[in-house]
Amino acid sequence: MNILAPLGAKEEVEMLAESGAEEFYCGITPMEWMEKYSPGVWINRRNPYAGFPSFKDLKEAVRQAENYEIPIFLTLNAPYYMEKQYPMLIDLIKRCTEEVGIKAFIVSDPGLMVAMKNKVPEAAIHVSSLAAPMNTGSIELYKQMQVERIVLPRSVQLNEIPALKEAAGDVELEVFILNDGCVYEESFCMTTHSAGAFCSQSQWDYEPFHSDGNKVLSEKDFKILNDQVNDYREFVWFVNDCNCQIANDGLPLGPCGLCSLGKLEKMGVDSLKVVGREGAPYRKLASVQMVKAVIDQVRAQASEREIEKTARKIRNQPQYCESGLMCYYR
Amino acid sequence: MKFAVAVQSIRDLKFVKEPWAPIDSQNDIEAELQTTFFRIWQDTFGEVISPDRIIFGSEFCQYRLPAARVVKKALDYCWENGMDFSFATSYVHEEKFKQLADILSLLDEAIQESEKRIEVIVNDWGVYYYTKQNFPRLDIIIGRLLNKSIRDPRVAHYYNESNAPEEGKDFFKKTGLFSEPFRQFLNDGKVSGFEFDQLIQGNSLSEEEAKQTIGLHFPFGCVASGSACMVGFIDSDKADKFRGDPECKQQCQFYVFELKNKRHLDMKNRVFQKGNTAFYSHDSGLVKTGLESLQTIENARAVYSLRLPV
Repeated sequence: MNILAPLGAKEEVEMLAESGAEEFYCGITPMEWMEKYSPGVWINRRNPYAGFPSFKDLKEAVRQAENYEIPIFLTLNAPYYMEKQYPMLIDLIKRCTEEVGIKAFIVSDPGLMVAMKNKVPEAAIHVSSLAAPMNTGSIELYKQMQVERIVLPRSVQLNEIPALKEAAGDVELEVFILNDGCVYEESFCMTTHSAGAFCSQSQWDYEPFHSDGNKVLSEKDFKILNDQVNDYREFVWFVNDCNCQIANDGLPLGPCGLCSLGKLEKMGVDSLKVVGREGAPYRKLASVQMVKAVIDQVRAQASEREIEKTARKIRNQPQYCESGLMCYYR
Repeated sequence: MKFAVAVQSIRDLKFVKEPWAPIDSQNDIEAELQTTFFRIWQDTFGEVISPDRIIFGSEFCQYRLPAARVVKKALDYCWENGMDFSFATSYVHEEKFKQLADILSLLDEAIQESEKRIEVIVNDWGVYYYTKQNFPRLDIIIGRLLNKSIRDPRVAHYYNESNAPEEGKDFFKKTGLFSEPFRQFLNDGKVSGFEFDQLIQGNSLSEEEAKQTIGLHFPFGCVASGSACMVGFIDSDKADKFRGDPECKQQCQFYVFELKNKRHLDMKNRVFQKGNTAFYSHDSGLVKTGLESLQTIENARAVYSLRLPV
């Protein structure tokens, strides 16, 4: 079970590798893409400025990572691409495979997966969680498309993973372990973060009404719904990294699956994704260190109870752990 | 042009034959949009026509997946009334994937017995693959959740501004489903059509691209859908809310929310959340644009939902 860390600049390679990262992922948006489509059309799920600034920098990051025998994967997981974007995408994949040394591409669009198999068959595909591989049917589909890895969406819970693992066979499974949740299913959220996350609660008031005819909600209904909205707001707050806060001890807050690492190991999960390419270097460092501390226990074959205890101790936020709302897996 | 009515509950089936008539179970929003939709239909096409197809089932929530006997009942009603039948499916986690397989099997048997055609509208690539592999007699329609255009009512009206780059504007209006690699991906499946939302920024659908059935949904477009249902967890302990199985009691059929934005004050479309899915409602301009665009497509289908479609 490898720790997959986000990378935003070549300067981050050494500190993250030395702290326990075993795989990296990152993004890049070629300048010609931005010139042609504007920075509003994202080549992957994050804004262009969350990625590497140049191929030169990316190549240098790959070279440094190779010194640690760490592969770098590149995100090309925009929700969709139109026909005329394919030539530029294929050129990018060829260049990154042949010249830069990228080891795999994280892709969500089945059309791009087909194009890659046709034009750059040596390029490995990791199916992004944006492709919503949440049942054995989708696992079978992507397996048949000869992908190397499938990233399970955040909504997949522990009890679902064994069946998906069995269906995946030799195809690797990756799961989310730390930071940045999604209130909606990532694959089915048709919004853009360029306007801020749609789910960010502070921008919305929720006004309930009856969905069945023009019945009037009773006072009791309003009370129940008001309580529910308050719980929902709290959940959204956790999902959005506790309003992007850092705890008093300097550790980043936000969605977390550290308690479940023992179970994930037993289920045969291959990779643990730390989210946050666009985050500050310190946030990435602290996140990798947290996962590494718990993984060390897993590798030392500690019991599930000990692992859970260690995870909670490291998080040092008992009230948040108790709430359950910060947990990726329950 | 074909006309389909989408219903998500068996009790609404009885309204399908005259979808323009007032319906007790509609709320004010749904009634207002019904009036708008059929007024613009009449302005555009003249007399309203009776629907030729029922689309039954929820595209958005696996916990709205009906029992197989309910699907059979809907199918029987549909065929008894001389209409074609489509079964709409949502994205599904593994447990519901198995339940869905039973329904697909039932529909496949119905085709064998009747020699009629049945469509399955898929909103999950796993469901697409499973249907293609196991039930080749079923016609597959690629649902609007697999048609990945940006549908963000906070900013969509800016995507068509005159000073926006042409290539950028084009991107936001197009679908990725008609690219050559995507056609290859779909070419061994029995795909007979594609579903679209009428986008606030406008859709770009050339006749060349639209050789198969193009279904355009009215009067609600999907913004976002997910597992964190706003009301399904009402009875759960707080620590168990918004992830995993809500042991759903269908609370979305009683409660819905209007989402009012405090930052994007220039938003032009209202936003509602029913259960696990947020929708933007169509204004008269969107309905008009959508219906007019269907006139230019050879195999066009207007899909009208009586209710907020969960």
